[in-house]
Amino acid sequence: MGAWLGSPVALIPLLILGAVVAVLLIASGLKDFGLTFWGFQYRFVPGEPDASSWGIGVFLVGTFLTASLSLVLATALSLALAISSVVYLPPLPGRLLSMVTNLLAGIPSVVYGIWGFVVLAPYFGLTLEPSLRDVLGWLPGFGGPASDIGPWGTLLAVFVLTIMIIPLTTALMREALRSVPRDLVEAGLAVGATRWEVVRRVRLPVARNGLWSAVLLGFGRALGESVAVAMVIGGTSIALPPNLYASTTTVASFIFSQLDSALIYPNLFVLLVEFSLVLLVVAVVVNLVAQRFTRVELATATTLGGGE
Amino acid sequence: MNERNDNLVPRGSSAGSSPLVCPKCGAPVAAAGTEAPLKCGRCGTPLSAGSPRAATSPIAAASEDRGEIILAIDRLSVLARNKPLISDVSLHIPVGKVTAIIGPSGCGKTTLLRSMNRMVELHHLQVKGTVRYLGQDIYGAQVNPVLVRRRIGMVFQRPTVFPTSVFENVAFGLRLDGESEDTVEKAVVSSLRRTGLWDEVKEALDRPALTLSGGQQQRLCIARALAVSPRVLLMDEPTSSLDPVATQRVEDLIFELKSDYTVVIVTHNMQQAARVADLTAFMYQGRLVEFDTTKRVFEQPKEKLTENYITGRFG
Amino acid sequence: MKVTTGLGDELTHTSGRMRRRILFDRVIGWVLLLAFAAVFFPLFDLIGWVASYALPTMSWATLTQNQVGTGGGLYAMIWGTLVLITLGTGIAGALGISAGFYTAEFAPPAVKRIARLAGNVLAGIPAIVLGYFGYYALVLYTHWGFTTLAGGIILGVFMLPYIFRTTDIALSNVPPSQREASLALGSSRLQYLRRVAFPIAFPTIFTGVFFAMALGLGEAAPLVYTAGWSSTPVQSLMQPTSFLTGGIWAFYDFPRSFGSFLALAFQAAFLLIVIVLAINIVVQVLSDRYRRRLAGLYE
Repeated sequence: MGAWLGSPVALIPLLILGAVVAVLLIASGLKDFGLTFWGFQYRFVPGEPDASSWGIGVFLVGTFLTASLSLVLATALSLALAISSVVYLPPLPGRLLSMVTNLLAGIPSVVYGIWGFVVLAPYFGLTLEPSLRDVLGWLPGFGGPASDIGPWGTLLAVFVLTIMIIPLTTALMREALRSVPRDLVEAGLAVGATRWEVVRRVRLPVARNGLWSAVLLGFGRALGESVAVAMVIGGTSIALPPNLYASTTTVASFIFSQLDSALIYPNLFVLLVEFSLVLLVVAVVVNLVAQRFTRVELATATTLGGGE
Repeated sequence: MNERNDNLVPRGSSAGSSPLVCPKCGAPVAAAGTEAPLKCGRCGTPLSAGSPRAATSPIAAASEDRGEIILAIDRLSVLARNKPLISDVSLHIPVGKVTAIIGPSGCGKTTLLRSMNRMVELHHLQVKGTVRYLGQDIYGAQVNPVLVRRRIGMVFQRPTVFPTSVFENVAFGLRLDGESEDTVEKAVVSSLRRTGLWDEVKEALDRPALTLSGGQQQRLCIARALAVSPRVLLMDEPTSSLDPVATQRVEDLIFELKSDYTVVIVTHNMQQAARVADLTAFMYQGRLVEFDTTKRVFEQPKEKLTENYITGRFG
Repeated sequence: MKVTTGLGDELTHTSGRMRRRILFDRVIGWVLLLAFAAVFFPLFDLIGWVASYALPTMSWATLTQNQVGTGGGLYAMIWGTLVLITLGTGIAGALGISAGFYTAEFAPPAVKRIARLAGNVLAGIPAIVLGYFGYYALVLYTHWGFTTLAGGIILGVFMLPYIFRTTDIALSNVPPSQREASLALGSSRLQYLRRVAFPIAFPTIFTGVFFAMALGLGEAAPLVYTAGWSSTPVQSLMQPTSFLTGGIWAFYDFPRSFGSFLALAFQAAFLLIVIVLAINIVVQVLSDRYRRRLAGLYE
């Protein structure tokens, strides 16, 4: 009986979660989730924009495009870091590495944003993008002209997002690789496998679930990042990007950067609430799927190594 | 399988004068017999003829007359952060016999076993002294641990099956070598037959290995170790997680294996040592106390400590 | 049968394939190390650039003066950040720690599962969504307008799951033997919590609170929509306030002709990095020590 008395306190997180969802639902008035809302239309209407001028389709494409590209890069790099520090490095440098990556998890996203905007952008515009165009121009997305507004665009956003999520994915992947039973690793080595062969044939298959969940949680983080993306993605041009150098927009960064307008236009306000709801659902689904895979979790990944 | 035993005579490794020892790292240096200047194989320190020679401890020497030695452990110490786990152990393990290492828990018997195929390195322990396999220092600079473990296989306390099929578990080591499908299949079948598992799993080769019983899993691990044709099989309390029936089967298997393999088994179970081992080593607090034929160790131990342990006064 | 001579060479005499395998293992070890360069170069570049923009223009006045026109200092932002983080930590700490305690110690299994899931879902909600939630619920609905209080509350909501989960984990990880020993000696549940569980769990909870603070300090998204903006130091919780992350967001894209705005943004960024890294170093050292102690307990 006493156990149930404490339950409301234990359910504080659930209550807050419920409150967030309920308030957003009420604010949206549950209207306008029709076909036009999910459409891909985008045109600039003088005066009050509403769902008929912008469909969320464009924003979702921009969101998934930037998040998945940065995730591909981040997965490759953080898997390399994780394997290196768990398998190849001696214990002390390995621990040091994980401490440094965890430290970097704390650098605020606005700081990544201003660095991307002021420091990286000129480098991208003058050096990286022209050389990418020369070398990989034949690949879809890598050819085509630079954008009119300057070097701020999809590629810069992808790069900044990649650097931002690497600490999280590395911490989660390290934990997944470390949780492979030592017995199995030693059994692999005892049959005369090299370290790499044990990684390839024992550690990666056994840690598969944990690795997937690291990838998904990184994806959730990239999807939801608003400030840094808003700063480097090139203003608020609402368009599907013709190539990687062009500007585009994401749901989160759009919501964040449109505050001023929302104060003036009630219709835009409702649209942004609906965008928030969609973003919430997407992020929650990604997180729930990630949680199904393992016990390692987001809230404690870079401090306690996650998990219970 | 028997043909392997023909080339096991370790020429010059146990006979003749004892080898030179590197003054820096304690590795033995084979006398090359030429005028070439001698250098330590492990750390490269140049040596002169006046360098100290390995002192063969009495316990090791006593075992020299038991036939060909496949693993010669001399003055071996293993340290964790300068704290010795085993100190100054010398033990010569003869070919084609089952050698048991017994002793109370924490006496270093598992560490000793794991130093025989360089598994101790995984725990970043410091190794001093030598372990020579057929005359060659397994900790030598040119020796890769992968090759050591190919020759000196290992079975662990708990069955360590990989989460793949029965077949793929046994094929694990062979796949690494890129053997043809045909060769792999032959070797898997012969290893499974050798461990007596074939009749039990021949219908279930594609089933996940984790669905086998504990005893079957442990024999599967032995089959997996045998599939890469080692000469020595190290077993770390292989029956400690098994029920009596499964234990009996593994013990029978160990007994059969010694016609083709040299087996070293660590056990906390003295009856088991008495049942399966030809030779028994007794360790206590990181030191080797006594090493002799199992019969003598159990019936007329030379050391009081051994006697006390055997008769159950401690441990 | 042929007798092989020089028998020990079994350990050095390798087939071509074996040599390739060993070589591949070594090469891949080095290739993986390249990832360090790929990750650490940009990160050190970031810290270096921010410092090089911020330091030349920084002085004592940066910390003590208000922003005046395009110049001045960050005093209002620093003060606002301090007030906001205090509010946030207070709210998230009180709610998160008590929720964690109840979940770990008293809740029935079903409630435990739901609470933990909710905590993890909450941690995964994008900060901007929380910001919009706060904007509607605490700025518009209450007719407060932008207030420091609203900012602090939303910051608390943002920080809560981190504190909640660490508290829960810390207490759940107290070795069962300790718990049973204590209860077997006849101590009550509360005595057990106070005398046994809390001292063991404290360093981890502490870690969680500080980690959440570091994250909260670096967030702009939940605050821009709730705390608003003010160029003077905040006097009351019902006034809007400025804050360091907001300063960066407000000034980052001024053209270079307004150089001093950019300088303010970089100074704020530099301050944030220093504060957050300092907190994180403390957290890392503590949690590392705690983890090793925990490993010792279980060995």
